[in-house]
Amino acid sequence: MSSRRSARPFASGALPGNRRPAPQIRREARSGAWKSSLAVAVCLGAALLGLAPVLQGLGWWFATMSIVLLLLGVMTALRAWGAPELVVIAAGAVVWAALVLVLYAGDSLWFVFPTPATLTDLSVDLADAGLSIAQQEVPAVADGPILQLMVMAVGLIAIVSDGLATGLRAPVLGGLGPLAVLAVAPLVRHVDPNVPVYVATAAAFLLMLWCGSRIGVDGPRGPRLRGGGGRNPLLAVGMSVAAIAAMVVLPAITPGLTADSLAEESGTGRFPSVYATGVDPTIQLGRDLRRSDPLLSLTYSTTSEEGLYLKMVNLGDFSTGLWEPESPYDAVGYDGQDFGTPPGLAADVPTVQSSTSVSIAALRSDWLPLPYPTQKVEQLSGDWLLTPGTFTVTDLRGDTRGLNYQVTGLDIQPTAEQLAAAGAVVPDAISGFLALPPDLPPVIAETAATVAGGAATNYDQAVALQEYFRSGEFRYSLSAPVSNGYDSDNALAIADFLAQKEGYCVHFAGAMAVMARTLGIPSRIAVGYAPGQQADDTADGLPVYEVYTDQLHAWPELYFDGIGWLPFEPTPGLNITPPDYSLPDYAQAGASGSASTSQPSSTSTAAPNERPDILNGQGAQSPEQIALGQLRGWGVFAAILGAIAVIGLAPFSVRRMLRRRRLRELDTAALPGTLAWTELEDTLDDYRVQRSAGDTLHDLDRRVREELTLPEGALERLRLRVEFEQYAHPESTDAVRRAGIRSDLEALIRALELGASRAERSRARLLPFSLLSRLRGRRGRTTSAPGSLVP
Amino acid sequence: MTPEAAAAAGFAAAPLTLEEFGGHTSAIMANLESVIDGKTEAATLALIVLIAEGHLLVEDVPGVGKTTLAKALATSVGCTVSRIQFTPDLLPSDVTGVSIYNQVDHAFEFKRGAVFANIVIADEINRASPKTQSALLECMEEGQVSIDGTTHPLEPPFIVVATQNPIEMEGTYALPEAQRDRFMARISMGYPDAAAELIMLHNRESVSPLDALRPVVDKPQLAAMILTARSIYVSRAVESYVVSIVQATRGHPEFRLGSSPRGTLHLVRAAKVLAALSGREFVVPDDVNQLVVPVLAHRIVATRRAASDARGGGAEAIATALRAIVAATPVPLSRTRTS
Repeated sequence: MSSRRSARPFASGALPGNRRPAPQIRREARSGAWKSSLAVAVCLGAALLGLAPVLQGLGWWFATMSIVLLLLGVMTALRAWGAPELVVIAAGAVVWAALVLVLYAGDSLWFVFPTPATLTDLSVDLADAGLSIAQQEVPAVADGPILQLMVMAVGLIAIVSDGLATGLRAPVLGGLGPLAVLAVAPLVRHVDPNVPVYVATAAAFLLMLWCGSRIGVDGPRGPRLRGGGGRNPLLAVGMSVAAIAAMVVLPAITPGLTADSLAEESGTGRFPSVYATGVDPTIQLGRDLRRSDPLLSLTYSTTSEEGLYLKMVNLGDFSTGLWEPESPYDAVGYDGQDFGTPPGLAADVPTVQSSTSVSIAALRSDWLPLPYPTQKVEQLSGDWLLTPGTFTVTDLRGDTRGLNYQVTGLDIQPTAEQLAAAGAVVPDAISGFLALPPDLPPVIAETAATVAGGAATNYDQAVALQEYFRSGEFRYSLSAPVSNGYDSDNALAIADFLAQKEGYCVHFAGAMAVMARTLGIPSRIAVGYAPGQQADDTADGLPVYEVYTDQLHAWPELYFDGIGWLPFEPTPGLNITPPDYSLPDYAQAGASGSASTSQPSSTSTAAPNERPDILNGQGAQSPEQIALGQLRGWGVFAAILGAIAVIGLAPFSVRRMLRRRRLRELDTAALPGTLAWTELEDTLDDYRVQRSAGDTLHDLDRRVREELTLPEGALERLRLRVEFEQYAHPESTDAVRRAGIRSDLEALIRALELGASRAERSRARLLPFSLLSRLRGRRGRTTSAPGSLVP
Repeated sequence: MTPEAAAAAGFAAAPLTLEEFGGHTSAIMANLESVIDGKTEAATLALIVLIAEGHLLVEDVPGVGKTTLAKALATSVGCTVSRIQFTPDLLPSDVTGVSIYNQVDHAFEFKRGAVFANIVIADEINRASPKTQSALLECMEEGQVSIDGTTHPLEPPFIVVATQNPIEMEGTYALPEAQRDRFMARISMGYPDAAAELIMLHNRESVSPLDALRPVVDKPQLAAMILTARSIYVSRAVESYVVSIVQATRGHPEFRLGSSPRGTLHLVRAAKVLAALSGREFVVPDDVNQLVVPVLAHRIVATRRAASDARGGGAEAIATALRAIVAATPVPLSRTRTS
């Protein structure tokens, strides 16, 4: 018998007769495991860098990696100590759970076990993270909720990856974790593939594979032979399934952050968007305002005495109950020509020409921010469209970043007399700006009548409306919930807003514009930027203003015949000075004929820059909503856990089902011995006892008996039975002898199980290799010589 | 030998039970082992060839017991034995016989040659000229001798046990492929290990053990054993297993010439005997497996490269390649009842 010495069937050294203590054996079998764990950490770290385009800064990376290193460190230490793999993974999970408790529910730390309150906190925090992700534009700020979610998720991935790669010696499966992390950025945003990150992750993954294959090799017991190497189709299939699962699961846990959901919103195609991501400008506005760490949108310097509103788009069409921009159907190519006379402006209204130089930083928009009314734009690169009626300039390609241009504008300074004299006449061209939807809630018109009914002229009514909103009755609040449509300017939301008396610029502007229309004043909403803050430096002796993303603003513009469109500022609490003419003193002063003596006055009614923290914003939700949110959060969590469990346990249950079916069929099968032998072969495969297609029954019998201690005679009886069934004359199989087959088979399986170490047994049950070889259809071939002739 | 011939020769009609068969074979084996120590495998193969009605080629260096084995086998079964010492000047008529003019009867009289025996020991067959070697051809395959238009049948059982020195030795004429193919199996004795050699030395101090050898099976019993082996069942699965192994030798890159169809027949016949020896009524793949090298190796011609490579030259290279073929041929195991 010259057959090659085959691989030892059990990797963990639990062969009979081995008397060394188990921890020592495990330690030796695991020499070099720390390298594999380190490789897992490196791979995760590299994959995490893939999130850099989605999140700002790198603080989150260090925070997450420190948790990963902590978890893997604990697991490595336990392995070095010789703990069983199950204990190692369990310890990792316990540390992780403790971290989750600390991070999410620091208050309840003194309760060792999570209380219902902890769970509530946890779900609220999870909901916060979801909200935070949903509300932020990418790159998002890694604020508390996002960071916590990330630490939690990546920590769990680290434990699972390390358990697979180092513990179960399946580094290929362990690579799924980093892969999932790597998949987040492309899912969230259509970013260009970050090649260095991909290459680094791939390199780290190869390192993982190498370290994983070297575990135990340097140990004192010499090279560790392993069966079942080589190509592995089931693994490939498993990886694909897991990758697909990751693609499905990840969007579920990052609501609103996926490119798909953004595409869905833009898919309604209502109008050219303010932002290239194609979001409704008002929703976008709400999101940008909620940024806790605003970005610089643009800077400008102007000859005008005060900061300027920079308008991007008009929302003038309210006939459907939704504020929508006029479509730029009559747009013409813009080539530096004059914009023309602003609509409705009479020649006798005093104007001052101003020159403004705009430099755009982070803003991505289809629309050019311009002061109203603009006369001319110069030094503008790219192809642009001018809509003559509205004085807006569009570029459908939607990228304004890095633009610098020079704007010549008019500063309209009507006198109080002119304002008072502005007639209630509405030219035909403007009558569209009076349109109201038929189902407008009556409360809007009633409120407008109550507030401004006493005023004589259109102008007085407008001033009264603005005064109504700025009187202190209304409160600026960004916490208007996104989910139930409040982040909108439609008619119903306006009615809601009038009742709640809480909202932000969109609500104020929308409400004032609609109410003006009910009073017969043509109105529209302008979306653009508030004047911003004056910076310290100057350009060419002119003050420089800085405008941040959170100064994205909406304000109403009202039309007065003879003067044209005039902006109003109903939104309180933003520290924006309303135009002089819109203040009651100006009107009164105008009535007394002393317009020139008016003084700008600060009328901020709320604390300046009061920006309620989004984390406290949950106060606006009803208890039912909170409960519902919790329920949904837990549902998602449970569904993910369930999916993982189902995927993870699938091989186990399929194998178990197969064995049960075979045992059941033993009583009826035509070839019971062969059926039992098939089951035995599969069990041998599960325990990685090497065998080959060229093995005869006898070869296998001999080899198994050489390597394992099996119940006396059972294997031989079974083999003879199979040989009889397979090769004897069909006529001679007079009676199918079933007796003993089942007991022999069960005894053999039991012996195999008892002969293996506990870890090997768990592995054989959870990851049965026999499924693999059945899928493959053929087994690995090894050379084995014909046996001895001696019968 | 055809069944008709067997019947004509007056073979015992009834095959034996496997128990009786086993009794006879173990008696023969005991005899063989008493003269050749530690060569169980060679002895078993010799016995298999005897019962499978084949011819045996024993190839090895001089003095390892080739002839002793052949003589012990012949003696054990109580048949007529003749021995031809092949030399370069041996003539075909010395083997087959010669017609001599009888002056008394005024007629030619056929004087039987050495081949007219149940067991013919052809010693050092490759030292004779090809002409003489080929004289054995008809005898071995047809079981008859034709001389001067007269056919003289040989009495069954008829087995040629030829011994030869390796072809590298001086004064040898290599057996042509055609003749090698007629031997069912080629065995190699090999040197005895130290212990066996010690026992041998001790046993032969005074007397040759061959002298003490007595027949343990008579001719009718041997005929019955042959019939028994024939009745062993070979399933379709095993047949196809044999065929796929033989086919694989024909396409093997290291072989210039694969096994002949006669090799297939011989392999199955030998496997039947091995199954009977194991007390089984049917052949299992293991029986085939173990016989592949002795039954097929001498029929195969290796390519020059394989024959000259470092693995010990032709014979060893062929044996290694055959083992690889066996290891790679899937063993038939049908999961459902098909036949």
